Amino acid sequence: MTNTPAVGHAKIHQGLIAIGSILLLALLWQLIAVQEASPLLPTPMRVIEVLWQESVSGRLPHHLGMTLARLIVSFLISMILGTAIGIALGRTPRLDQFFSTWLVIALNIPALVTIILCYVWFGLGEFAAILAVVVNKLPQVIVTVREGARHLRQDLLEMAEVYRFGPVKTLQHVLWPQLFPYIMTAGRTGLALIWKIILVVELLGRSNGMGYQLHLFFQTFDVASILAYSLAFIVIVQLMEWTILVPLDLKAQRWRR
Amino acid sequence: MATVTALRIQNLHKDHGRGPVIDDLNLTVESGEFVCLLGPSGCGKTTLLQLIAGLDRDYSGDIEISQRDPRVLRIGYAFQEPRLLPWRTVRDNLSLALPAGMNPNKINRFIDTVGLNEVADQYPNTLSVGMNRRVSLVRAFAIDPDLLLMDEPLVSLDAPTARRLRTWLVKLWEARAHTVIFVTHDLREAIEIGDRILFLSASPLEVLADIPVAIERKNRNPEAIESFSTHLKTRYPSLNGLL
Repeated sequence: MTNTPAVGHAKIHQGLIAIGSILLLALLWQLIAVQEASPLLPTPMRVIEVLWQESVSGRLPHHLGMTLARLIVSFLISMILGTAIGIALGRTPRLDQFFSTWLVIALNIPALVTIILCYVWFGLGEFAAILAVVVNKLPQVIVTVREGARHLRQDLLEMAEVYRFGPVKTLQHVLWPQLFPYIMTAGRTGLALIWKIILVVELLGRSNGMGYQLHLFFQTFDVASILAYSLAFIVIVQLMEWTILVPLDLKAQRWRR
Repeated sequence: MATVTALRIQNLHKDHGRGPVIDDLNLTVESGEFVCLLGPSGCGKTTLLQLIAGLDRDYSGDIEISQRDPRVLRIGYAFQEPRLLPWRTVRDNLSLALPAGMNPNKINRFIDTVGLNEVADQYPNTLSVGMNRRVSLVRAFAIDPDLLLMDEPLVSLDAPTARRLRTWLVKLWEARAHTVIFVTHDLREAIEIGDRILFLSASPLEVLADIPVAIERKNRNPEAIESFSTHLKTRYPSLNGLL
């Protein structure tokens, strides 16, 4: 795991390119905004100003917090449930045969339909909101983890049986490391999917959260606020990627070198 | 010393569904004995080991293994491929195999004795094929097994590595005197390391001949092995297909 100087330089180089491309994007934005001089396309500086005001007033943290809380709860529920069901289907061909049509249907229901149905059936409450997100996300976790469970190495399972690993040791040391990459994939794509769905869920049936706020700004055509909130959200999601997902990935993959 | 039976197989019959693979096999191995099973590839040797190890319980007949600890039967199995967990270090691979209740410190001492100290904290992917085989053999020994099964553990290694590992393996075995069943298709290898060689027929598997290696271990140099092998070929012309 030692970083040679060459690797270090490459990383700095990559970082510079990333910063450069973001600056270029901001510059383009600035040029077009100045050219247009319309409240419908505020300049980057104006957006950052709004971002600051909204943060200081506490509104942005409040709504962002609500959305993040929903995101975390629904993410955890769908990951845990999806992993368990995915393993069961991947290891039991008969179960899989039976339920695979259910999965195909679930995968193809438009997100908006599940959201509406959840609100209609369970009322405009927190439970229905979380459920709608989970139902949207779950099939994809199941399918991804099922793929992993189908490809478990039989030779290692036999080894574990001969050496009397027992269920706990087998799960921890034989199964989990093989499933982990699939669970990570499900988690990555899941996070991206969930935060898009969750805004719609909030827009349709909650009175707080990012989706709710965006809805308000839409009604007043307040583009600067819309962009400010989006920016905050993008930054938060990317931070989660860097501080949680990437380190987890590195730790689990270190044996590959 | 009175001999104790370590393994007794009676009327073993195994069928994969396309005719018998093993038909009415009888076999006894004494405690501390190093028995080589020699037969053509595909004759069912691996199947036999899997039955003995309990990985496949779909057979008729009796397989009795005497165990020292009445609670748990300990079988050390060196598979043809090392079957190490790639995501665990050598040390973890070894200690994970230890049965519950065995002192985990034992593994550290064992790693010392067998000369794996330098690689103990590395992952199997970073080690040579020969080293992976070595770790897999050490794992089989480390659990202090009632019975040690080895399925061509030295196959497809280059000749010098195989020779080194063979010598090392015999030393490891001599220090502990475990009961070993060693599958091979190499007669010279069998003569070099075995107490007894069972010649097996192709499917359905049966024992064609049961021949003790009548050379003292310290005298098993290449010439002695060669002359014993020639002796077998003249003495048992019926085995020539195997030799």
